[in-house]
Amino acid sequence: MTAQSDGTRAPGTPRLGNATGLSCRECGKITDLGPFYACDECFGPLEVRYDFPRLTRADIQAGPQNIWRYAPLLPVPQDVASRPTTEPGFTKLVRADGLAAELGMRRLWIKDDSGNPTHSFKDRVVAVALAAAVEMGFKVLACPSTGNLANAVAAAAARAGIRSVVMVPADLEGQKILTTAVYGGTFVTVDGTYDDVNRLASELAGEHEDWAFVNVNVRPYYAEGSKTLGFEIAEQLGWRLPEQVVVPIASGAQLVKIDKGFSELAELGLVEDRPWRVFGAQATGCSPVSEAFARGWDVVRPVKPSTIAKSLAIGNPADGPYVLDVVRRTGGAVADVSDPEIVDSIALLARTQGIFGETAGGVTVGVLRKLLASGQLDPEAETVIINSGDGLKTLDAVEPAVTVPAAIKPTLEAFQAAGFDGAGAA
Amino acid sequence: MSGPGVPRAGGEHTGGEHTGGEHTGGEHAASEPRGRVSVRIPTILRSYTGGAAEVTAGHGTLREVISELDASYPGLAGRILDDGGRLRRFVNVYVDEEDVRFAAGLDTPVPAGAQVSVIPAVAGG
Repeated sequence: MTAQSDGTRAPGTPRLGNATGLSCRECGKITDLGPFYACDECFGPLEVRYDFPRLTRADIQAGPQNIWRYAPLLPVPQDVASRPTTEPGFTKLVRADGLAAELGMRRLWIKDDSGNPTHSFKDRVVAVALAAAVEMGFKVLACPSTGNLANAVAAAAARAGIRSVVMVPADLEGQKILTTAVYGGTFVTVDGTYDDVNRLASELAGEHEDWAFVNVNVRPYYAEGSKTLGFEIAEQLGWRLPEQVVVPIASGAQLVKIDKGFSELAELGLVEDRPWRVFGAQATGCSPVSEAFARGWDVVRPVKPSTIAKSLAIGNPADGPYVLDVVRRTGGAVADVSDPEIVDSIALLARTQGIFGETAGGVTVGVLRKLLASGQLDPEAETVIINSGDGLKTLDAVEPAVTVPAAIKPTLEAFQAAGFDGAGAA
Repeated sequence: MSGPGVPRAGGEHTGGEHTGGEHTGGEHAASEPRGRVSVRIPTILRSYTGGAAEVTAGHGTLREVISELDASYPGLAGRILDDGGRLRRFVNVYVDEEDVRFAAGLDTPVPAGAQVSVIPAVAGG
């Protein structure tokens, strides 16, 4: 993208905290901070560069109980906590003894990001994108989405008092359609796959220079928001890195940024620099990264998705090659599970932990189980898995697997006759 | 849906002998000379086309279209293709609605009247 001259941008370099510029992840070319996302040499993705200050655990712990406690490590104005945002993050890290016992693991934790304002991890990335976009002079917050991002963008824009334009495939889960439409922004349902919607968004981003498509033209800033998952996991473990982490893969950015978050904490001396292994989880019906991992490729062949895990149904994942890099560098793996395994894993998580994850959570638990069985995950190593969203948004997926009993009369006799007294009751 | 290779309307145009009018994107073809295709240029490459968001070329394979564009706008091909002449990893090219990676790549036919879109792949998720 060339320098903007349309007068809609704030003059000069945007004030984005300790961020100093952008660099191409492919060819290394350095660009100024601005609304750029692809390298003008090679089309490679751009990544935020920083000059971090000296930072202590106490500095961070003195911050707010949300992602803005890590503002010095994010590309945002440093007064961001005083601006209107949804204040996501600092979700619970649940010690998962029930699921660990079921799977024969020594120590397992669930980072439960369904606790965010719109019930998925997307509130993190959107909050960072919004803060950076406003600073760069954008007037509209937009996105192509598989649903969770749609919720997060529509809500964040409503909170900030700016217009949103949200585009989704028309065949999304009904719950995700309703939980987007309620915020009253511009809502576009598209007859096509997510990859089709993504393409349309990429073309629109070239035509509307004051629209910030959070995961397109401000994607370098947006993606940095997922580092906060890594920061929080480490802080909540008592400033310690886990030995293994299992992360669902859609575009792959979340996995790559959790790894980056761990690396930055180690570089800053905030945690002991110990090895960790990163594992990725996909649905078999959309498993281009898992396929590439299994075949030893360093690129990802796009696929046309067909899975109930719609929030992960990205057939052409932008960060796929970087996921392969991270997983291989750390000694992890990528695997995939079928739709029936996803549903079964949602039920397992609910039954053993009292956590109702969405389909992506089922994918992650399913892959955890699969990689334990194959010996690729070590049951003795401390492990964290990500539950990225809320089961209430993907009710259709579990409906066939859940038994709702017939109604009884409100009498003791009817209760006993139905067999609810015994230990063997359903 | 299954994998790549879903049959698509338009296969009969591969001979390139047709006029443009009946193809997808006919509204573009109507204003162009016979046998031309239109190519949408992403913002990042408009410095090569004098700021034009859309340019035209003769029909043929995608490789031939890109080659002709490079003759008109020197340097453009080097942004879309790598040193080995392959499509760069982070570029998506569509002929009408079809991602060419699901078709024949650079050998994908671009019939008269077709719309080619070149789009940075770094998006989504």
